[in-house]
Amino acid sequence: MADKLNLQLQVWRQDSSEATGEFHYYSMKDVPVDISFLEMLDILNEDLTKDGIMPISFDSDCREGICGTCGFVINGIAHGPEKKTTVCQLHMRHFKDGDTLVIEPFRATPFKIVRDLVVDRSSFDRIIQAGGFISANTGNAPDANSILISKDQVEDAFDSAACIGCGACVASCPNASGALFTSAKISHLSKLPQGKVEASERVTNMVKTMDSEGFGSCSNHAECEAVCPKGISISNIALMRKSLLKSII
Amino acid sequence: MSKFITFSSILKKVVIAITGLSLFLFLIVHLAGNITIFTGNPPGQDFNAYAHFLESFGILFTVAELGLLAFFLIHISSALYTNYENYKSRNNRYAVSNFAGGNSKKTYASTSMVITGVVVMAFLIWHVLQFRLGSYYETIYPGVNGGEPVRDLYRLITEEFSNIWVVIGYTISLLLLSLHLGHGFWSSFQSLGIYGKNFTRITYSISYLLGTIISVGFLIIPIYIFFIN
Repeated sequence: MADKLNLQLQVWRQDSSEATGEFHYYSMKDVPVDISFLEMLDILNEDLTKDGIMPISFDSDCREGICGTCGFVINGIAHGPEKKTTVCQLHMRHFKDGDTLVIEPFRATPFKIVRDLVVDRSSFDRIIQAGGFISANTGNAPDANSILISKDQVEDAFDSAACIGCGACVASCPNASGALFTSAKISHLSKLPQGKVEASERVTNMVKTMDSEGFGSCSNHAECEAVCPKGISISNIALMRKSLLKSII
Repeated sequence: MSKFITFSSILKKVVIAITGLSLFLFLIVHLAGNITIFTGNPPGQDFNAYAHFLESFGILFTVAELGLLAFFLIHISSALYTNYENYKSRNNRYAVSNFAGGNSKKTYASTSMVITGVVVMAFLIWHVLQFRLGSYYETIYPGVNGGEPVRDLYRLITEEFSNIWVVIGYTISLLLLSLHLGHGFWSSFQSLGIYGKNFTRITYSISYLLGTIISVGFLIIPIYIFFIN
């Protein structure tokens, strides 16, 4: 494998949410294979800055794959070709010399493009505000064994709680559905005794907000599960539906 | 709450799933009834007797037909409306779209449900006009309907399926139906919130197979009739 790559980049550039965007083309020479995708864009941005061109805007924070801030679409796949990987943890060794990479922002009506690859995901915050919490004041942390929960149940709840809210599920869904995110946030609470008390109101309010934010409906393509950096399962979506039906009946 | 029930994305999918699964069951019953085309001496006696048996239920048969029509209309209208809403959920399209692979169940069948659905709907209208509302021939079998005339649907079928274009039209429509059923079957359970690690794995793995079996089952009839004539 070559240590350095030559790449053709096709990057979506858009000045503001109102502006019309278009693709800009950049050639990258001698990209080290050991750097991350975002570091590759950092190098490009330094070159652009030197040339007096506005650097490409993209979101990032921890660059360790745990915060959920980064994310865009590479060649039609959210977070790129590697499974269970955010773009900040995607390394250039997964690409081939001479590759053309089409880089687009997460596209969905509820995710307004702020600039270039940066999108506004505050619709997710509003879904959480609608019920993604436990409202009872529980005081200090209780003794570890005062509420007995089986290991399997804990692991199951934690699998749902692993969602970092990056929005790749919405970006990859052919319908731009927010079902995987919303269901993970509902499930991780409702799978534990503390969250069961408000389970019915929670699912009703969060689904209502999800719909009003303009997300599409889930058609069970499961593309979201495949691109999710945390591997959140579509079993959460089934559980959300079951809980909603239960809350109505 | 009532407004929420009407407009919730999840409940619309529940309606699509329940009507879809019911229509799936109808197809199985329809296919089972069609087996009588291959039996009977003289050819067609069993099939015409079966059709007459169904019609002999009178008002109950009409109610069943209208119920079936209602299921189709509810399934189609909810799906078309949901599809329109989904289209609005992405106001700027991707330049490149792809398949992520791995655990994804996104296929050409799953992404073209609305197209295969509309083609199947057009096919259904044609199919009903062709047979249910088609030419009314009569025939007499001793022992069927007490020797009184019954509708000779078998003759209509042999006439229609002797036309190569009709057979080609059926072949294309039924193959598209197999794709529609392939995604629709397993997906209905998921839409109803029925998920189990093994259950979902099994329903998904047999879904496309079931769709193909049903379509090929129906397809044998026009091809068989075309070649025996």
